[in-house]
Amino acid sequence: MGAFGGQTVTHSGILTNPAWNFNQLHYSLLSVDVINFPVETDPLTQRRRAKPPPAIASQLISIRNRAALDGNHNIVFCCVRGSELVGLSLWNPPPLFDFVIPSRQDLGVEKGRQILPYSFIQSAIEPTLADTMSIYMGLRAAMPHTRLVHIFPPPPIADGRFVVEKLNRMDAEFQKVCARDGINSALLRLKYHYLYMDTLTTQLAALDISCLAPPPQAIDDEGYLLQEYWLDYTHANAAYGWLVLSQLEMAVSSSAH
Amino acid sequence: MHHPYEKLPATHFWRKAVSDQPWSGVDFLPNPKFTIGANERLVTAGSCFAGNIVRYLRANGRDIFVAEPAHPVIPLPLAKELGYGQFSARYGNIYTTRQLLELFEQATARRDMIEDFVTEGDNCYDLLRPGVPASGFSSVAEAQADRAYHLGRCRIMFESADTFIFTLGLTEAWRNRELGYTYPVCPGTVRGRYDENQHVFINYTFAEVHQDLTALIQALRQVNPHIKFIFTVSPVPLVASHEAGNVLVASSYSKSVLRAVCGEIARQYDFVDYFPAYEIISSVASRGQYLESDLRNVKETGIEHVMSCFFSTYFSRTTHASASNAVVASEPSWQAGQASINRSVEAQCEELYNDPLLRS
Repeated sequence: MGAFGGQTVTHSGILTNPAWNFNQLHYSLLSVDVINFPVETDPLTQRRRAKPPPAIASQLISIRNRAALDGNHNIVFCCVRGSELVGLSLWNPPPLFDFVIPSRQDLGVEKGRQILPYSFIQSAIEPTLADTMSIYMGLRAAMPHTRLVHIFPPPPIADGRFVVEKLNRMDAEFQKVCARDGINSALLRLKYHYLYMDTLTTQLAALDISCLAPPPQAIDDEGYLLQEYWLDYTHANAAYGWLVLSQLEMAVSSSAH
Repeated sequence: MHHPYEKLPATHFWRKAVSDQPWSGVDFLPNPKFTIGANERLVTAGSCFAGNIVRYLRANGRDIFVAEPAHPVIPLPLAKELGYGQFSARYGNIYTTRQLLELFEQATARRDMIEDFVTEGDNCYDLLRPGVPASGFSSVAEAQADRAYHLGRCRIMFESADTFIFTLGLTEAWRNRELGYTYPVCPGTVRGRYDENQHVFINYTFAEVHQDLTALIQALRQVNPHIKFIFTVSPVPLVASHEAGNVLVASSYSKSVLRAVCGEIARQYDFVDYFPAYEIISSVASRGQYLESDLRNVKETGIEHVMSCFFSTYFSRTTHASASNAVVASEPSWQAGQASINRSVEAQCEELYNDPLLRS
């Protein structure tokens, strides 16, 4: 997930910042990284869901209780995962392929690539979002009346060489796969980013959870992250975090009016 | 008295070659112009009957050259739904020679890609291959991109094939009135909406089919000088005719034209052969034994007879096995899966949609 207030937020577990105070309103920044969460299958829905370790679960209960007691928690901004799509967006199983997002047909396709159906790509990413959604369902259940806002991760970096250089943060097996097959083109990674945002926006709306898009100042004309905000293949740097904080402040301010 | 017939072999005489022979023993093509080598790239196209050729080739361990395979990440059931594996590329059924010629022209950039897409509900369909994929595309842009890729693969197919097996199906077709291109089926039957201002009926004549097939052969030999052709005529009668009169008579005309063109073309070129699938099924000498109760569809036993003859004619007899007990050779997992799909592929025939009673 991105960086905030000069500090990159990549903690495992939950970070509840002492509530910032903008315009007499309070909000919390909640970061949940569940990469190490065990996963279980819901026997009723057969969907995968994260099973928080007891320590994390107790913190969730703590937040719920605090939110219930503290009426000033008008908004909770959430950084829940965000890197789950990175693996899929980098994975480049041959032969080269492409897909068309109906809402972003302007992006075009790269010539000579096999076209995979949008419906197939969409169905492929939904399982990767299942854990995120199960966390949000838990949060919504814990805070039924609180305004929850999901903060989207930064857009992809166009420079594939830079991304490859930073792959040492990835799982060793995945690094081998990337070394063998290469990584996806920038355009395809951008499409995955849009698809992730579109799909999650739709699914979270059903929980009455809104989303915060990446700050426009950090994005170039084609939709990629500007170089001055690069950190690694999935995280933006502290300067990006300050832009997001400004967005949070504006969201809180507008909420006050 | 001497005459030209007296020294001819038995196959030239009806009594010896047909009436005194069990039907299964008739040698329909005693002198094929060529045989098919073990490593040749076979490409198939044509009407729904051509799908049976694919099925039997695979069942006998002689897979076709697949120029447009499904991407390995696509699950096998979805690959089938998307139209992969039915033929060498995802063109669906090609009923007329003109349709095949236009496909070749598009694939080799002799003409621009024909774009005739229609949106129905949330999905978009390609009227040049309305069953590919069965559930349509998510957007017009996806349909366009998919067909552009498809044409690129067709180009590779045309350039790489060693033997092209084409089953000619129909002479009746529908064309776009303004731009002249040919549809596989009448718009409004499978997909799209019929509009008499846009869509016009045509029944191709002998001269037109001959011209189209000649043009195709000559153009294809330019990009692939060593390619050979085997033409067959689908024995399946028209499900519906737009001509005045009876569909049986119209069907007879259509098949006669196609059969005559094949005969004429086969006489012209030593790299073109005609395989008599039509005769095996439709000759009165077969006594109708291969027809289903509708007197149109071909029973599995008929297809098996046709393919048995095909294998005997063009392949080494030692490699021929009946489809029912054929074992597919061990292949890499994806190809094995692909073969598995295609063994279960039933020949899909969009032409059925011409008959409103069969649509429901």
